[in-house]
Amino acid sequence: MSTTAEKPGSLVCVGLGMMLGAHIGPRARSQIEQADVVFVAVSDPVVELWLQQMHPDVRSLQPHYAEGKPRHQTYRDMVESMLVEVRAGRTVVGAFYGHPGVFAKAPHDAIAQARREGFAAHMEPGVSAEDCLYADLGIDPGRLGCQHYEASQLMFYRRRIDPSAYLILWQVGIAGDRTYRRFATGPEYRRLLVERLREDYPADHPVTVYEAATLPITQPRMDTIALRDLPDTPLHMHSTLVVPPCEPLQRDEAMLARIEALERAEAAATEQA
Amino acid sequence: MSIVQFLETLGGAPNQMSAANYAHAVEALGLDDAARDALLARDANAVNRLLGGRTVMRCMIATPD
Repeated sequence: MSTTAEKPGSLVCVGLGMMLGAHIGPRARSQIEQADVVFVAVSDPVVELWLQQMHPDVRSLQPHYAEGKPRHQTYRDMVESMLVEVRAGRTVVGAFYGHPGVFAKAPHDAIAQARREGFAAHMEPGVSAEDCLYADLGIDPGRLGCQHYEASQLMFYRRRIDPSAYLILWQVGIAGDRTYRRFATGPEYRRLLVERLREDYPADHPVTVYEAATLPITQPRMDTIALRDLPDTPLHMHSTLVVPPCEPLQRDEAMLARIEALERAEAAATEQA
Repeated sequence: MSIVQFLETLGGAPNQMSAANYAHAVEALGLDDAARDALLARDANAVNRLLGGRTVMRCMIATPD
């Protein structure tokens, strides 16, 4: 947190969590209630309405999205709308669904820009889709490890997948989109993603399409399908793909031998002392 | 209590409203038939329509590079 800024005006990006009324923390709520203006980017329209009841000046960032408009520009516009108010000396809150710093470019960029301009700016974490996923699917990322990638990034770049760990792919509904102007890609793109995953997983490997619940009257989506069926499975902007391990952990015998040698040396040193 | 306030209460304290008394709690809100039916059916789209929320929401805020 920057506490040395001299200029008036500040920015806090807070996480609302995923579910209306369930996940918001006291710090995020306090920041919202005390703000001069609140900007909001959430995935559920009722959550947006909920926020509007918390503060008299809530401004949606939704109008920055548009068909055919590059998302890089959308995110720059989001940042700029928040910064305009910060520069005007106002206490600004950016309220984002989930965690404002997890797979979220605009909040990070906004905080960095505000700090570059000499304003106080920081982030308040929230309950992310990742957190809900672990709870709903009963996954402990510490047990076997867990890799997270943006789905298109996995396709655009050579990444090393560890098939003995969980693999979680974000924004799988727009996998392979290089235009950044679309809100969905079709089965042909997902076939390429499956082709990439088939380098490490069998075609019948079970994978789960996950969508966190955003209202307390709804349930999370947890559809388990065979990897080969992914191209024809309906996906949304907020769909996440969970790929469980297909191989057991591989012991690193060489490293274990070196550790054993260290242990022996320590034991010998202790005996001599 | 408004529908949004009801959802906020439900989200924050799910154990205080079991499945058995959910219907009773919805009835107690005194809503019109459409709103009551939407909540009883747990129909998020219908609830949103009745509240006048946005019909299209975009939620991507990350890019691959």
